[in-house]
Amino acid sequence: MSNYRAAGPIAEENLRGQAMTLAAAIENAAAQDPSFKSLTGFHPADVAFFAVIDQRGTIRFHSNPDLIGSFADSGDLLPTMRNNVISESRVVLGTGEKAYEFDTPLNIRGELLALRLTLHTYRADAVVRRARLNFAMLVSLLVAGWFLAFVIYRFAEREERHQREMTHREGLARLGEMGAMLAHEIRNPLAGIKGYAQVIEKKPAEERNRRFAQGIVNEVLRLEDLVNDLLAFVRNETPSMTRLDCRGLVTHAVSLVSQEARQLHVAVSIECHEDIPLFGNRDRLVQVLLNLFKNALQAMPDGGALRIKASVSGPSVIITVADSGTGISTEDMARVFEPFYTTKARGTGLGLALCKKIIDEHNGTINLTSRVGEGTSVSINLPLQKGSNSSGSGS
Amino acid sequence: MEKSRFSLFFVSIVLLHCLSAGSAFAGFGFGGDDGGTSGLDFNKGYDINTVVTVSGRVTSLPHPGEQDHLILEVSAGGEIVNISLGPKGFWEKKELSIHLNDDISAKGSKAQGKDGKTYLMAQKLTNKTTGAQALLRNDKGVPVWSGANGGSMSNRPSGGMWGGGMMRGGGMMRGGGMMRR
Repeated sequence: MSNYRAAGPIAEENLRGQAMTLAAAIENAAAQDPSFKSLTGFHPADVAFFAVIDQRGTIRFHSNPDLIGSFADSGDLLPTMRNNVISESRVVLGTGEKAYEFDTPLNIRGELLALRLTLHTYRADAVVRRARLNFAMLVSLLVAGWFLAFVIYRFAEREERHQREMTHREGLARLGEMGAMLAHEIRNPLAGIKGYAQVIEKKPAEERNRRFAQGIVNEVLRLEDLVNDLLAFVRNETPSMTRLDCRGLVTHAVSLVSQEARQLHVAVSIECHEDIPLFGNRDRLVQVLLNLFKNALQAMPDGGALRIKASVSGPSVIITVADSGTGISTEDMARVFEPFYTTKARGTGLGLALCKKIIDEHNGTINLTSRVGEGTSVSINLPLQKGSNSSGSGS
Repeated sequence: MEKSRFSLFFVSIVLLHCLSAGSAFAGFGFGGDDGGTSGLDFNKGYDINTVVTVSGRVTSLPHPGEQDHLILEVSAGGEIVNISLGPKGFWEKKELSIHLNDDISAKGSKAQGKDGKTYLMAQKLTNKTTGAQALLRNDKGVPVWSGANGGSMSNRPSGGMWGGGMMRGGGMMRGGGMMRR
């Protein structure tokens, strides 16, 4: 930067030095030959022109011989002669060239004259051009450097994100394989345990064993649910799709939890148009609704309202399951669809993850909104079956 | 992701272009080192102070230069002088044949362009090899092709001839501030 700033003054200094040297040479030649004839062949490369003028404005010598003896406006040269001062400036010549003009007094054998010397600036300005070039290259390199740093940062960031995603997927895949193996190994013994416990429950050796056997059966049923969820989650086969009636699907799922809802004093309402057609796998969609209903009921241990609404919006069917339960905190919201993430003491963390997987298989989306203390609303967006012209909603 | 990658690629191209442009125009305003524009006015530019007569050998036949003017390259006294011959249409009507290595003598206003080249805005051109002559400007530098050759301008203007302003409005034009010491 300092070189860049100094370049201009350096160029001026070079021009001034060159002009003073030439002026000294001209003065010396003129002193020896007051007729100025010796200056006729004086044509240094960087001189655009030079002239010697007297106080009356007569051009005593000019590098263009046609102008010798003619009159020139010497108004701005008079101070140079009278005050014996040097002046310099950048001027634009009639050709459009930007040149350096140097005026200096000459004292030739007692006569006061003025020398106007005009120089080409290309060579002297080389230092300025070089400084500008260096500065421009420096700025360009800096910009390029910053840009490359930004690009590298973005690539590194993306690479890191990919690595994280890969690790997460690999972890899930391993977990799935292990879960499938465990589920398979556990399922058969569980069936045996359940069978024996049910036998004991029916004909206990002692009456008090009936309660214990009942407890064993309940726990085995819970473990079977877990195993079934796990197997459903790791299953990769494409479900068979059929035409479904949305209202029938919702009513069926509600009937499966209606007894539990009555026990918890939860009022269930269904708002669903009769002719909304769906295209999907009935068992899996019922499993989704059942999981959502169970989550909702668990969030309302002291009663509340469970509202199920199905409607058509554009090319989609939207099924909303809203409860007036405890709600989900903001921290948990971001992770609710992650497998094995649960806030319940006896939860598996597979419920919502399984819902999302099933809805994804149906090319749909599932979204969840919640406010602590106000309730949770889960919205499922499924593609409407082609050829349907249903619209609106009814109850 | 595809869009982001395209944006990145596009920005890279623009930046690399700026990088090269930055170097190319680094000397802008001070004249480039490699064939930039001269910054001279070939149409109306002329300065009687810088009038010289140049004699030399033709090294390059008339070719299009800036502002649609033809340029003739002549080697004179060890330097290459680019003689401006006027607009192409004007020169073609002159029917002055020039060949390589012809001895040429040209009188005109000499100038150095921002590209470092020496130019001569020819007033009169003589092909000494053939003896043919062409008048391109009058004594005061008014171009023949401008059609305003009445000579209303004076060689001794009261407004001052210094700085060559008489062909460009009559006054002295100073590019930079006056510096006195």
